[in-house]
Amino acid sequence: MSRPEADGRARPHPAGEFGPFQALTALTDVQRSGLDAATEVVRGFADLLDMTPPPGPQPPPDPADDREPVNGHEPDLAQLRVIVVRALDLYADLVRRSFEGYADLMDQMVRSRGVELDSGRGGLLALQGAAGARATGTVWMHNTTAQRTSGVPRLTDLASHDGSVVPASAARFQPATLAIEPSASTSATVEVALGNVAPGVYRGHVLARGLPDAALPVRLLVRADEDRS
Amino acid sequence: MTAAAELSDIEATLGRYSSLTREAMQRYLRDRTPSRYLYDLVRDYPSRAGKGIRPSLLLATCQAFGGSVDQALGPAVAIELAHNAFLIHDDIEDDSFQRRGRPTLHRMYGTPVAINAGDALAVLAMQPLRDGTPLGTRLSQRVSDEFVHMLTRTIEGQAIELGWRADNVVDLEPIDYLELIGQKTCWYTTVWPLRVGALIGSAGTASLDAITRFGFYLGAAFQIRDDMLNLVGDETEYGKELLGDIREGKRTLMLIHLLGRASADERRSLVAFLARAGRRPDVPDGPAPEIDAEGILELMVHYSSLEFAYQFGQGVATAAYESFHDAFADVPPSPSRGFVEALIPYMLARVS
Repeated sequence: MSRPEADGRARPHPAGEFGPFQALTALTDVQRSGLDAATEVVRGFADLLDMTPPPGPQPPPDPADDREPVNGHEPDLAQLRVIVVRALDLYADLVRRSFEGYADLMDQMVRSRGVELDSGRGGLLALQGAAGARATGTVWMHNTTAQRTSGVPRLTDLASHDGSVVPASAARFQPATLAIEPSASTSATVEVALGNVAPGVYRGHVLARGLPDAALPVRLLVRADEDRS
Repeated sequence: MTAAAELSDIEATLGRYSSLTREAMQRYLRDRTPSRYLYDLVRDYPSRAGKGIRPSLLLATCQAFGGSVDQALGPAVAIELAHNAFLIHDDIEDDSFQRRGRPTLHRMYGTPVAINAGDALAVLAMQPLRDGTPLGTRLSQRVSDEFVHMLTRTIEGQAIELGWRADNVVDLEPIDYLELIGQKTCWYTTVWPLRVGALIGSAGTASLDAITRFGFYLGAAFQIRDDMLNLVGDETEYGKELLGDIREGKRTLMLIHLLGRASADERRSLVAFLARAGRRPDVPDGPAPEIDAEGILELMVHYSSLEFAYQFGQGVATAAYESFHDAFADVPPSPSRGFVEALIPYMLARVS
């Protein structure tokens, strides 16, 4: 079959033929029915809108509404209103983001305790071993900062009450260097050689090169050789 | 200026807005993986040249109300992505063959992956609205709320149309059709773009009631023309298979008019045809209908159903003109305002 024109008639309707200048009274019955039906539907359609916030207190009448034209020009209050609202929005966002940034910083400061050392059982590394043998233990390093960090653990000289010393060089850490991701922990094994060390209690610290605030107290109990097991 | 020149001017402006949106959309969709089973499909429909009426309407309205294209580009991308998501799922629901001159996505790749690509587009459509930087938190939240509201209305409208087809509802009046397309088409095609464009352009100060009315009339004119083009358009320009709406049993204005004018025998044949077109998979086929889609189009011509729809659409367009002047009463003259106004006759004159 041959196809009709889009309106079912032979003559095409050019764009703009039907415009705002066509008087409403010139509408055909079908056109009028379209207009009336659409108008009726729109009434119900608008009722479906529940997007608008509930009305608040009515603002007082704007005295600017009664203002006379200035030099023949109406003041562009609508435009001014948009500019002010936009500026207030930007300012509100700025305040909010500043506050959030400050709060994040405070939160980080409260939560961050830097890099800490402990024994896994508290703030004292307790080692023991028989004289002439070895004492071993574990040192934990906790990174509570937001940056990746690393440190080289080392043992200070351990001293007893009578001035005897277990030299720092007697200690070995494995691994020698600890690298830690933000908010992560890692550990190293420490081994202290007790050759030529008199029985007794020795005290000192584990420190970490590169981490000046990290320190873990150490208590080393050296038993007499006959206690060696 | 001649009518043809007016049409080409409007389409040139549509092309500019559409191009801006498409570029932003492609930036947004590129470099996503997995490409083979998902993002290649997701990028397919957006890469096919559409008219871009929705983003153009949004961007132009934003400019008319004093805003900039940059402020509204995110929502323009969002509505275009949502539109493409709807198209993929509509094509599956209707088992359509063509979309924008090429095979539909489910015909090319199969229904399961096409459904998933449509889901992905619907989710991706939300993302451009989450960047509050260009608009500020308050306005961004408002635009997102409007988006969810629009999606809800559209899906509700689509459900009603599918339900009418499944239950073979035939006792319908033109006003039922207008109520249907108000939900399934107008919200996302014209009402949301206009409302959001005005909201962004005016920083949330514009009154939206008149805008909403105008959006309904404009969208109704768009859909009436779309339904007509499906019957008598140029398939190359229109981009979809002609008479698809009849074969799918869509309740168009022409069909509703025909059902009210046909003889008793003709109506019986029509109802049988529609029952078969909209049958559910669990319902066995009845006897073959005595009429086919071409025969129904002949009846529509015979009973001047197309002429009725055109005239009816002109009445709706008259209402659109009236409401445009309410909606844009406080908006100073500008090319973007003029473009939005020119879309009213364009909706009934367009050929694609």
